[in-house]
Amino acid sequence: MSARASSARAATPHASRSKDEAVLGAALASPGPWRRAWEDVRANRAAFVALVFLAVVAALSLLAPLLPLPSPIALRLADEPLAPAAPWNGFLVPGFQPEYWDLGAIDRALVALRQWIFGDLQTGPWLGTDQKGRDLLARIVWGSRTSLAVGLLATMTSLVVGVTWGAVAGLAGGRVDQVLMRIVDALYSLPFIFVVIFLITVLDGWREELSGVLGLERESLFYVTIGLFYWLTMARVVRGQVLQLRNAEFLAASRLAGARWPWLIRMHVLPNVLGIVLVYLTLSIPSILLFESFLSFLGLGIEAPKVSWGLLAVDGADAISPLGLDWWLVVWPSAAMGSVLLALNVLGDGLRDALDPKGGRE
Amino acid sequence: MTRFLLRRAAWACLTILAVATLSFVLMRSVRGGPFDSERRASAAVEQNLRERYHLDWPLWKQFAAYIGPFELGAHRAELLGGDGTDVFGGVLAGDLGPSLQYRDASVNDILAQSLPISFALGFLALSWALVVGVGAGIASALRRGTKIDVALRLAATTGIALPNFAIAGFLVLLFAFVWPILPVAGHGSWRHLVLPSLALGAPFAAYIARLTRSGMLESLGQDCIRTARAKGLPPRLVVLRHALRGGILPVVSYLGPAAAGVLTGSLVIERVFAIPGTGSHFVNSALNRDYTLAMGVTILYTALVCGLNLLVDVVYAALDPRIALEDES
Repeated sequence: MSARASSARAATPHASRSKDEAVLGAALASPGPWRRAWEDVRANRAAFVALVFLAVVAALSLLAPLLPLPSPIALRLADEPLAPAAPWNGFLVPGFQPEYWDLGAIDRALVALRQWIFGDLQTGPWLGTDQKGRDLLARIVWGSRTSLAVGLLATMTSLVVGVTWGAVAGLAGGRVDQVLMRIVDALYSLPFIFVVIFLITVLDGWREELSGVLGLERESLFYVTIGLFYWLTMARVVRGQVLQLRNAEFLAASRLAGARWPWLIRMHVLPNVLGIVLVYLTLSIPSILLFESFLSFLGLGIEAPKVSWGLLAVDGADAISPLGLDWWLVVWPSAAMGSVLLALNVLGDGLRDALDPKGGRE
Repeated sequence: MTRFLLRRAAWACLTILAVATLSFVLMRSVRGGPFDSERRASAAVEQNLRERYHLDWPLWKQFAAYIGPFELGAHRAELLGGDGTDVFGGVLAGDLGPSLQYRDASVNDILAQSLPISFALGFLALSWALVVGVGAGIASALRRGTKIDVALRLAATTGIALPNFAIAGFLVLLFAFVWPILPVAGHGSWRHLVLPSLALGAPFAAYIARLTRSGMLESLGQDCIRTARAKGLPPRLVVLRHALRGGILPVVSYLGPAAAGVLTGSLVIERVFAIPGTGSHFVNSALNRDYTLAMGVTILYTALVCGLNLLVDVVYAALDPRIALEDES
């Protein structure tokens, strides 16, 4: 009660109008929270490097069809796996075979454009080739498309579910809140990879029916399954934030000043929740990427001929044998994946420092 | 305290029961049974198989037989007028049923064989992760801002970022080929467990180091530490007895999820190193549609994780008396 009273006092219009205007002017001139966060991230050198690196990786994987890479699936069974050859010993070599899995229209057009620009030329085996003579660099770049797409889509699913769940629990409060959070607790206590593998196996049995109805592939099935389980932390965080906001004095003040809910949500609730959501988004993409690679590694995720980083890791694990030390099949895919995950983690930590008002300790 | 624990235990039981129900319903609704293979058996053989595993019963009856110590078959226990070849079973009685893939072993047999292997692996991984992680975290916190701190934090971030099979690959390259002192894969002696447990524990060591560092930094800044220092306690004692007690709390509450994570990670690690643990059986069962085995492992692990969480709550309360277990919100 006293909190509300004091905030009411704070919101009471004062006599000195000029002073108000001065305060308002100062508030407008000072950088907003987003701008300040951006400056924080830029000042944090590690986070900024990570951001640039991720932008480059994203651009490479988006433009993969346009790059003069060899086909990621064209086999050359006659050859032994080729060891990496430095780019200066044959930067571009002829011999491109336009073999891909079913690409979308845009990607097909990009491949056509690539053939028009580079013709028969392709990069040499800069990172070596695998047991079946497929170029490793091409496979890593094309694999990044699959893995990043899975990561982003599954994250979006978890975002929608988690934010809705948490916001409803926080805004409704009381019994609804109790029930919703108890469900989250119960789901938290599941060994969820087991449950997800279980679900994927089961959904796989229905695949023919489902793909007839919705055009779903196994891939999209497991985006959804992942999204259905990865929202728990997000829901908790959003609920906590919303609960805090509900009792915040500035919100009460704004309400007393006559603001309606749409305004309140747009001006106060969303900006305050968005920051923390962004942080957890950045931090949950790596764990989803890891999860995709886990599943693909176990033979339950992406299916050949498509490539993903998890599948490349399987190739690497298979390559470890006393017969030949094809180290590049282990090292390069791990390095690619590890650096992207590292960058995401660093960026997420940086964002947390910049955006999370609690100073970022869980 | 007791009431709180009882309520938690009740929730855990409810969760397990819900998982059992859900997995049962899902598994049985899948098309394509475990006996659909390339080589189709004759109709009579198939019929016999279905009868043996009660797949011809109505679903509710299969479910009841699976869950509880109810006796529903024609060969029920002698007491109930049967011939005694079928005894009471069901999850609640600790019997997870027959495996559909391994024809002459029950799920319990398979678990009895594979669980000790997985536990040994997980225990080793978690122990080294705990020792190294806490050690590194304390060192990092005490030397905050120095090169050691930066190096340790970088190592921790890398450890969290790398997937454990990548770490496993590097370890195998290093210690089995470049410097061949350990076996590549397989199971048998303690030497077979070294590389897998290293790879399995690495991400957890990294995370524990991070938690310890931040926990220690917070607890080192508290007044009681200043008092302890002021009254002339040796620095080692201050750190180990006073600061660590508060600083390690986040680690304790992380141990529950960490143990669950070790179980999860061992799915992959067991596959990389060809270890016949529960994880590899589970993956195979999912691929082969061995309903009962997959369900058994899922239920068992749910129970394990729930139990671990309960244990963590108790330990947590013992370490930090400020936490009143009564009020949960």
